[in-house]
This record gives sequence, C-alpha cells and structure tokens, in this order.
Amino acid sequence: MVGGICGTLGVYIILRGMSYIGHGMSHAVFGGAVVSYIININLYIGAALWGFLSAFLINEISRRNKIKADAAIGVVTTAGFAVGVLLISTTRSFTRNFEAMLFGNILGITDQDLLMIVGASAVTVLFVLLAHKRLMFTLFDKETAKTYGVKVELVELMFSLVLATVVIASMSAIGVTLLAATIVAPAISARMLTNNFQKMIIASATIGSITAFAGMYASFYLDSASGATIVLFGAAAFGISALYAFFKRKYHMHSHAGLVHAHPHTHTAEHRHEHKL
Amino acid sequence: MADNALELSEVTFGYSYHKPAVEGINLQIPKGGFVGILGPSGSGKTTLLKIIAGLHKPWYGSVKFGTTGRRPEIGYVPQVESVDWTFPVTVKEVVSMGIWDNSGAGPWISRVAGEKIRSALESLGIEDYMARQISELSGGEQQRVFLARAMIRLPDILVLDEPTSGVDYNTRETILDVLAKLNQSGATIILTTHDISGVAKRLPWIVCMNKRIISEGVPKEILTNENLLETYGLIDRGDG
Repeated sequence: MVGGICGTLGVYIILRGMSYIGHGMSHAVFGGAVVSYIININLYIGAALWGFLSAFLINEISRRNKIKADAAIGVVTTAGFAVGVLLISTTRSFTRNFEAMLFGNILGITDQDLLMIVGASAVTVLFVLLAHKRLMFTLFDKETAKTYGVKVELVELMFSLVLATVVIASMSAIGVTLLAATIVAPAISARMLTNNFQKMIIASATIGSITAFAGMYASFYLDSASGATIVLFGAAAFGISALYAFFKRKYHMHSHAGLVHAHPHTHTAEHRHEHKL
Repeated sequence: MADNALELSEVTFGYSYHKPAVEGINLQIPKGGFVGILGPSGSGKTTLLKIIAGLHKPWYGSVKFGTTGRRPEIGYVPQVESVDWTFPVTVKEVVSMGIWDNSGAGPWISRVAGEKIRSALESLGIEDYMARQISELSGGEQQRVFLARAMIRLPDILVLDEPTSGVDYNTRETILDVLAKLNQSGATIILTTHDISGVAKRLPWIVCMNKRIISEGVPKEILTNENLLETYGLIDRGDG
C-alpha cells in the first residue's frame, strides 16, 4: 500500500521536476517527530504539523521569490531535519530509539501506523481522482491553467500537503532517509516504460506495490533492514526499466541518409519500414 | 462609438522594481477587433498579453473589459516554447485542458467533451492526431493543438503569443484563416508578431510597441520606415 501511494504521487513529482521534495519532506518531518517526543505529544501530530509547515514554506518561498523550488526544499527541509538531530544530540534522557524512524522497520509497525497508512492511501486516491485534471494542467502549462481558472497555487499547496501526509504515514515502514527512493524510483521506472500519463500512474503504483511487497518479503528471509531492502528492489526495477527502454530504442533505431535516429514506424513483410509520422 | 472589448489605461508593469517591462499603455480594442501587436524581442509584447489574460496585475493603471466590467471568457495561446513538449500527454488530453472545468468529474474525459475535442481538432484539420503523444508533433501541429485548446472554450477574446513563429508557410496560412473565421463569428482577437510582411501587413489593425506604444492604426499607414525604426529601437523621437 505504501509502495502504491508513493509510486502514484511520484509520477506527478518527477513531472513537476521536484524529485528532491520527497527526500526533503521526509527529513523535515523527522524534526517534527523528535520535537513531539520531547514535548510529549502524539508523534504523528508533531510530524504532521512540521510536515505541513514545511510544505507551506516551500511553496511560498518558491512562489514569492526568485528562488527555485529545489533550493527552497533544500533549506526548509534540511533545517527541519537539523532540529531533530540537534535535539537528539543535546537531550540525553532519550529512551526511544529513533533508528526505526530513520531507516524503517516494517515488521515493527503498530496498529496506529497501519491506520495512518490506510488513511493516507485513501486521501491520496481521493485527491488524485478529484484533482487529476487540475494537476495535469498545472504541471503541463501553469500560466494557461491560471488563465482558465485553475487555482494553481492551491493545487500545488494541496499536492504538497497530501505528499506530507504520505511521507508521515510511510516513515515508520520505510524510514525518512530512504523514503525518497520509494517515491521517485517507481515513477522514473514507469516513465521509461510508457509515454501515456494514465498508464504511467498505473505502472508506477504497480511497480511501487510490487517492489515494496518483494522487498518486505525478502527482508524477512534475509533478516535485513526492510526500508533498505525495499529501496534496493525499487532501484533494481529502475535498472530493468532503463535496460528495457535502451533495447527498445536500439531495436527501433535505423538510419536514413547516414543519420541514425529513432521514431515510430512499422516493419512490413519485405523488411522495409514505413513511417507513422 | 463601438463598444470596447478591452480598454487599458496608463498600464505599467515590470518584473523587478523601477524597471517596467511595459509603461503607460493606453489601448482600446473594439468588440470584434483583430489586432496585431508588433515589436522586437523584449519589447513587452508577451507581458502585455499576460496582463490582458489576467496573469499579471499592473503596478499602475487599469484594465477594463466591455461596458459591464464582467471579465469575458479569454482564450490564451502561449508561445509553444513555453511548455515541455516531451510531457507524456496526448493531443486529446491537451485540448481537454481547455474544458477542464466542463469535461466530467474525475480523471476521465466525458463522451460529450470527447466530441467537442474532436470538432475543435477537425476545424484545424488535425482530428487524426487525437490519440497521438504531443512529443510526436511538429512545431506547426503543436501550434494548432494550442489553438484548439483555446477555441474549445468558445472565448470572447482570443489572445495569442506569436502564433505563427516557427511554422511553415502552409501552417501560417491555416492559422491566419482560422483566426479570420473566428473573428468573423464575433471573437475579438489580439496576437503578437514580429513578422511584418507575413502577418502584420495582413491584419486590419496594428499596434507598434517597444515598452510603450509607438503608434497604432491600419498597416498601410502605420508600417512606415520611421515607425518601424523607432519600434525596433533604431531611432528615438525623444517625445516618450
């Protein structure tokens, strides 16, 4: 489930050119989780407040200033992570082990964690179903979307908030340091396989689910860290997709007048090829 | 006096302080007008279109629509270079963006919307491209897809940024023909161009600008050497 929702949101993220946001957001919520432990409130409430604040700040900084989104993500989220590290290093009375949150422990997740994952999955599916047209328009051509009445700033903010929810729900299972790969890897694998937006979402969610399930299963037998194993399965899926895309392109490669190139065409019985364009 | 579709008074706007991209623009465009804005790169043509489309709010001055003040439906066609054409969407999906608010709930395009998309593409002769990925299109085809996306909204005012740049002769003629037909059916059309002989000379009304308006009128009277030299920054009358 975690793999599926991360994979779904990943498609919009890579097409928005903000692959770093998953990495940043997951680090930022770690700070919130540590603070909530120190002031003794529910871990998810602290992480959620911190995550939503980070999402809001990233959006506002990149929208109002000349700063690009990746730079805003770098500053806001690393600062959030640094707060967590600073507090851990200065507070000696910790009884809780934050290692599971950093690197993930899918076998140690609680009923509350599971409830969060189910809730975040429902929010993601609902959001994608209702906002897909607005999101696609905003990602493809933000200015025209704005002219035609799409509230692009609201769409971007809502997307960041949904992402923050998914990151918070997934951190116990995958770990904040490894989560970015579970968001981006299925999406870039799907991008290698298809040029169709909807097929890409389905492929990414499927690859995310399969690699997460396979990784979890393997980590149980290998007695390895679940987050790391899942990420490695994701990376392997990307490797396979990249190889597939490479060989597919190689197969379609041909030359006219000494110019080697690839474009859609069909092969006829006489082993000639006809252009579709 | 004919009703104005659009009236700009003393409009000034820029992207950084004390450096206006357009300055003191006074412009009246009548309902059903067909106006070309001519000027070199960096003259503020695109900025002016974006102000009309509502993407920028002027620092000073006002933009008024018609007599009612109600914002009309504006179709916006940006420069084709402004988007990533490797984006994984089909022609149908791009045109459907024009009716994103009227194409059915959820992520799917309704059957009625599909018919509207087909008919918009048909009017531009590219209905066979409906299922094609946009990355497979030529520059002229991309331009027509953008035009179809704007037309499908049945706009009162159609604003186009360099709609004929980078297209071949036949595509340019098709685009100008389609725009002329839309204009005859009542739409107000405003486009930018830097093509003097291929486009500007053939439009009913021309506005020459370079950050401010240099002159406006029918092409025969406006496209004089003196006006063009001033528009392209080669002479300065010093009265601005």
